[in-house]
Formats: sequence, structure tokens, C-alpha cells
Amino acid sequence: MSPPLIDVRDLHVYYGASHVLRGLSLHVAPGETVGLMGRNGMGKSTLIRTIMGLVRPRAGEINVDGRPMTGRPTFEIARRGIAYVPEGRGVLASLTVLENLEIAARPGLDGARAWDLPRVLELFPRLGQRRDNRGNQLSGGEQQMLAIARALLTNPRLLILDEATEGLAPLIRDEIWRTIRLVREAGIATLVVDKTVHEVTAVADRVVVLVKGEMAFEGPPEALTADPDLMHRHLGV
Amino acid sequence: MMAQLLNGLQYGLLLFLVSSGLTLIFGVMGIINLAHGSLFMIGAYVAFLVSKATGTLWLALPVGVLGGAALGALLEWTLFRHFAKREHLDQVMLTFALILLAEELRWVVAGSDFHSVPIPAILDFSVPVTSGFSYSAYRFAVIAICLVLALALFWWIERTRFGAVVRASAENPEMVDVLGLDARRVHLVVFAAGTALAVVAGVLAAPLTSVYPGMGDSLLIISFVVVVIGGLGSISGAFWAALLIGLVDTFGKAYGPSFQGTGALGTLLAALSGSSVYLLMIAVLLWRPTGLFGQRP
Repeated sequence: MSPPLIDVRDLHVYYGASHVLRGLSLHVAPGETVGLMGRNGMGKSTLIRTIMGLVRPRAGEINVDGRPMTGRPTFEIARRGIAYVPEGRGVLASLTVLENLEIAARPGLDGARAWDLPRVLELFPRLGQRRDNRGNQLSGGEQQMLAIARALLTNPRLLILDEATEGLAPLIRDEIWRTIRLVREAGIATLVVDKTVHEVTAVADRVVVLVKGEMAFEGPPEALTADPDLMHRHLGV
Repeated sequence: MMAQLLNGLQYGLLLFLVSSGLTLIFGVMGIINLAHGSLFMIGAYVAFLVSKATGTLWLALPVGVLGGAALGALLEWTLFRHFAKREHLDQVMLTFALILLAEELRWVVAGSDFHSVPIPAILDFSVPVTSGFSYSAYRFAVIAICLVLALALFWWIERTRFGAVVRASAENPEMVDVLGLDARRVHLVVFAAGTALAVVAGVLAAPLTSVYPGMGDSLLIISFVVVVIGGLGSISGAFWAALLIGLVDTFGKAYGPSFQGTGALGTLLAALSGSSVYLLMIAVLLWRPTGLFGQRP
């Protein structure tokens, strides 16, 4: 069996004196869609930032395709085929829409360019209309589309989305969820952080719930939705 | 009047070559390079040594461009990349040490005398502009070369993919890493380009100002004024601020003293004319604290 795409083991992360991740382990298999849930401040974003090499763990290891990547620079981890759309989207305000896309475009690890500029503009026609606008002239929804389109242009094997639908109008949210399904059908693994439980459980193969930097639940989405008590305690629904 | 206008333009454009590198390096790497004026001095001494050895200034230009880029790449690779994440005090110590090293090197190679550098023979004449006024052909050539370099720099930063990565690195270095782009390469190229621009400015200035110890110091201070007025990290800000400073400084020094003896106000104006650019900086910062083209906080 091929090794998991990412395999994080026994991760401990501190911010100063506070122990944010407490021996957390997580894996994502190629093509798998994993939903990552939990209330605010439970360590979801920290886990992702640690996977991307933006936060250094005090202990634990991060493997990509079975290779140790702990402590490696972020751009090397990204180049292993991991695309990350951060909370707040990370759209570059001083660049045009087209420039935001162009600087990211590259072939995937297999050398193929399955996602190129025409394909992402077909996916998000709005971006084509606004191609010469600067990043700071876009609406929140347009920024989110740009951030996802830009991530896809790196031809990733894993797409990590942190709160991609937060603060967006319902119609735009639907469009983002449609895109996530499309990405999943294209065979790209996804790690989706979101608070919309019914959407996450509808799209994910497996769901992970974090509580205070530890895993409180891991399993198929049906097992989570079948347990109202668990949902109420850890997700507040 | 016409001569002062052209002098101001030419001075401002040379200032732009120096301050564009300063502002780019600060924008992308977060480092304030105090030794940037020393790079200008190195350029002037390269012009002096090359024209003494070969009898012409022309060879100094390619030597300045290529040597400057190589020197910049070497400095970034061996020193500056290791200081990019350290405290400002460490960066000040490093870049101040480089000033001292550059002066010591200058003393060993060329001594401490003033040297003049001859204007290239084919440009050593005056161009008649109007019936009663003519202007140095070499100064016209400097204006032209600076404008070409400024346009090339704009095109590179604003119109190419690499330029987009440079702007992205200045705005959000973390996102550049996340997109899988190697920021170290960006830093190396930006530092090399900034260094080459400062060295070339020194080469071009050498026949106009002669070469002398510490000639980079006063230019460094004016370049900081340009960078601050233009807005830290902004290339177009540096361009307009450099022209503004070039004109204000030239006119201030040319006409300020003529107010002498025209009453108390005239005496005050004459006394302040030498510091006109600093007064301008204070006025701009009171009006727009982040500079003319700076990002709004």
C-alpha cells in the first residue's frame, strides 16, 4: 500500500507557554476528503500551519509521501503538491487577478498541467471578467474564488481549505461547496476546515473533531451525525 | 533657470537610481542597508580607476552593471540573507561595518585625495537648447541613461511575472512561500539589481562631482529622505520623490542665498535654503505619514 499523502504524528505545538497541539496525529490518503472540525481556538488552523511548515512543532513529525518533512521550509512542502488556502484568503492586494494566478501556475509533481489558466477561468468566469483588477478591489466571494483558483493552478495533490466559506453570501457559499465537490471528483485530496456541519459531513470521507489540541472524534461522517450528544458538546450544534 | 531645471532633473534621476534599490531591498527583505551609499561610492571609484587605466569612461558602465550585480549577489548570499530575520540593531551593525570596510578598501586602492574623472571626449561639448542657452551633452546623456534604466525597472517590476513575485514578496512573504515560490531567489535577484543600480549611479556621477572619501554618506541620507517621502517600498513613490527632491534641492541652493539682505524674512529663507529637502520631508510626513505612495495603515 502506498504511504499516506500526509502523515502527522504526535505533534506538540506551543505558543509561548500555552500548549496548543497536544500529541495530535492525522493522516490524509491520496484522493481522500477529510473534514476538520471543532470550535474556535481548538487548534485547527495551528495544525494546518504546522503541516505547511509555518509553525514549528516542539515535538512530533510530519511526513509527506512517507518522507520526513519536519522543519523543512514552507515552499518545499508546497512543492510536494500541497496547496493551502489560508483563512483570510491571502489574496495579494498589489497584484492583479491575472498576476495572482500567474505567479502560482506550475506543473504538478507528475509534470502534468491538468489545471491551467483557461480551466480555472472556466470554473470561475467572474475572475476572467475581473482579470485586470487588483486584489484589493475584489469582493470577499471573488477573493475566495481567486484564492482557490490560484491554489488549483499549482496542480496540487492535496488542497487545504481553512474556513473557505466563512463570511460569504449563501449563493457564493454554494458555489464554493460545488467547487470542493468538483475538486474531489478530480481525484485531488482535500482537507476542509469549516463550521457548516451538514456541508462538511455531506462531502467528507472522514471527519476529525479537535478539542483543545487533541482528537475528540475520528470516523465516517455518519458516525458523527448519529451522535447528537457529541455534536452538541464539541461543535455546539 | 533652464539650467537649474535640467540640473535638478539630472540630480533627481541619479537619486532615483540609488533610492530605488534602497526601497526595493527594504520592501522585499525588510533590511535597511546603510551601506547603500558606499555602493554609490564604489561605482564612482570604479569610474575613476577604469578611466585612468583605459583612458575612457565607457568601459566603467558594463563593469559597474556586471560587477555591481555580482557584488550584490555575493553580499546577499554571504551576509544579508542571514540577517533578514534578525533585529534591526544587528542589521545596523552589519551595514555600518560594511561602510567602514568600504572606506578602508577605498583608502587602500585609491588613497584619500580628491580625484576628477574626465567627461568622455565625444560628450564633452555643449548642446545649444535656445539661442542664448546651451547645456552639457554629458548631463543630457546621464538624464537619458537614467530615464531608460527607470523605464526598464518599471517594466520589470510592474509588467513581468518575476516583478509580480517581487511585489508579492514585499506585501505578503508568507503567501509567496505557501505558493511554493523560493523567496531566497527573489531576495538574491533584488539585492543584486539594487546594488547594480547604485554602482551605476556612482559611475555616471563621477565626472560631475569628482570622487572623494565619504562621498556616499551625504547621498545615503538624501536617498533615505527620498524613500521616506515616496513611501517605504514603493518604486513609483521613489521616482516622484527623487525628482521632487532633486528640483527642490537644486533650486533651494541656487536661489535661496539670493534672498540674503532682503529683510528678516529674506535672511531666514536664505538660511533655510540649504535644508529645503528636510523641510519638505517634514511637510510631507505631517500631511501623509506613510509618504506620498505609502500603504495606508
